[in-house]
Amino acid sequence: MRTLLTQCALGALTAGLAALPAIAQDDTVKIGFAVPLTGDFAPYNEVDGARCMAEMINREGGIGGRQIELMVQDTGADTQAAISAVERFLGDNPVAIGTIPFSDTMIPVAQIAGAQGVSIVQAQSTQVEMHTGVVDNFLTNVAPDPYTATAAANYALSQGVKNVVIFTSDEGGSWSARTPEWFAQVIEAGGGTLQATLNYTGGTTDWSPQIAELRALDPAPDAIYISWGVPDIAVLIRQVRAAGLDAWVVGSDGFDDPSLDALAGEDVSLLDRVFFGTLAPSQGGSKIAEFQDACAATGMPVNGLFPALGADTIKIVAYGVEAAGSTDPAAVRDAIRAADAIPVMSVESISFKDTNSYALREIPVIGFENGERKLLSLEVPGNVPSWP
Amino acid sequence: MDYAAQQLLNALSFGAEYALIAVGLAIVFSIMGLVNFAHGEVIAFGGYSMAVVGTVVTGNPLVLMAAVLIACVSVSLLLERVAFRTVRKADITTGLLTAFGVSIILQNLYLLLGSPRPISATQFIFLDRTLLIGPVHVSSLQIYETVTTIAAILFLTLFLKRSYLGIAMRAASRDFQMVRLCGIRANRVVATAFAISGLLAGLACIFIMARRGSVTPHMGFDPVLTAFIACVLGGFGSLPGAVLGGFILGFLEVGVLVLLPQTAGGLAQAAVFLVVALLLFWRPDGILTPATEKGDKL
Repeated sequence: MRTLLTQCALGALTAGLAALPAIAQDDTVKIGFAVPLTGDFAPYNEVDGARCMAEMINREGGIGGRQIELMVQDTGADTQAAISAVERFLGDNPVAIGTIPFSDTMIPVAQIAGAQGVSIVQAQSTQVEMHTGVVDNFLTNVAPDPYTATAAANYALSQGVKNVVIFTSDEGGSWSARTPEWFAQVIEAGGGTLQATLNYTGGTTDWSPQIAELRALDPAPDAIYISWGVPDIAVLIRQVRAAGLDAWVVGSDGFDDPSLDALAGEDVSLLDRVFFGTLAPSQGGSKIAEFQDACAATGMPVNGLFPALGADTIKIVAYGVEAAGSTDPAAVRDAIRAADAIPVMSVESISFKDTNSYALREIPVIGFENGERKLLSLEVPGNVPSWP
Repeated sequence: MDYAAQQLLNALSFGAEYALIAVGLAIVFSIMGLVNFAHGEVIAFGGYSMAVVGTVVTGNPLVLMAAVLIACVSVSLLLERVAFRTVRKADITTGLLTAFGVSIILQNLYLLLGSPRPISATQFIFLDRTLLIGPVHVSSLQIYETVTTIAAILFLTLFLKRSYLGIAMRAASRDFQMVRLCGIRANRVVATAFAISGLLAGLACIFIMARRGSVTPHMGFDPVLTAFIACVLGGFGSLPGAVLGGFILGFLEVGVLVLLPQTAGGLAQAAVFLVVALLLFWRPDGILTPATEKGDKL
């Protein structure tokens, strides 16, 4: 009798424990971030913005009464660490996962998460490799690199740019190797000339060999384009100006970091002839700037564009859960893809309806006036070169 | 012609920077047999010290230069005392792993206490001005860096050949036990090697900061990897070898950038390392391999 009672008690306990994850799943909307909090890619992680937006939504009652729960694990720049973290997250039934925003990580992570139907929702990934149909459970909050390159090229043409030089590197995949080529294609289609393609490696602190090449060109280039990030870009701008070259220095979202703005503190004129096509408007007075102010006011500072875009990830998932009326990852993804307009933090709304895997949105071109950011153009470019 | 002279100066400047860092690695290796991969983090520590002192105390460039040098020497001595002294008698791989461990710990400390983003420190930017010498544009920083490297190497050579401690270091590089038996304190010799290494890291830091104008947690790691290759190429443990290796790498890098067709730009690094591999095929122990059986390493 005693044994029977013990067995019954154990059975009830086991059943109760087994039911716990289901209750937890119903109670919260879990979103995993297997992202680089440390290492070279740390500036690109979206956790701060995601955390702030989740907190804002939770304070107002959550998503249909469900609180958002973020699961965050540092992966450094290590794909294997990301895979391990994602496998751990999958045991907790997440609705979506974000990871290192480079295709060599996103593809294997998406394949693993896809086996359980979970979506990879990236706040900031622009790499074209993710839109070739290699995985079906991938969504990114921004438009791919050819769009930012085209928007920058269109603005350059409007400023009378004719002769351009592009800097390419294989170290950042298509972002650093192909984006400059798309820029040059649009320039050439607009009547301009690609004078030279120069190579570089990441971590360059002395651009003298490339600058000597630029100086040897006749006529002098009107613009140079590079898709790379700070601090290397700041060094390039400084050295180009020190060499007496007044060509526009044009770039991609890699330029979109507060530490580039710090150049103005050194010499305001350094940024006078610099602009970049980027992912979302982040100049003073933009929705991103307002969001950052709101977060800072609650003691959750969100510095830079990439961290801020994490808020969009939360808004996209929140919309999907609400529209699907469920936390089933596949249903949430279908709801997101079916939507005509999903309200996000960085712009009024985005949509995946026509694109399936990326958000078609207006591309801002940002420049500087007296060292302050200024929105130069905002368009959905219609002349994007063909890309795979 | 102007273009060639321009690129030649660029190569000289690249080489000078690599040589400065490579000598810092080589001097510790020659005494302890330790490849100190944390040398890059000593350079980064100098950068962070500059950012802190520049913000909190003063923006005076001379004071900041002194602060960078003091910071690098101090942290180098601290690392020797805390991390490397305990593994001095251990196997060479233990030392190597310790160096990597220290490097990772320091990088993560910079991340946690600082930021993954570049922290601006632009007080040395004034060193980088373009000078027109005839038809050739020369960066003043390139001149400062090349001259400083040559001066540092000359000073180091004099120190090692003329001073009591320098002679003790040279002797220690040959037979550490014998030096101790002669009554010279081992800790003092090793600490001096680390202090000199820290001083060279500080000098490299000043030039790196003058170009970058900002500091990041990983800013020292890549240059140290390149300097390590320079040491291998020149002959590990040999100071002239480290200098030669640094300059060869500088000339190779610029040469490949200039001569390789841009369509094959992705092969630039491969081309550099192919030449390095060929040189090592010719001289497997490095170009200026220390004559360990006949005489000094230094």
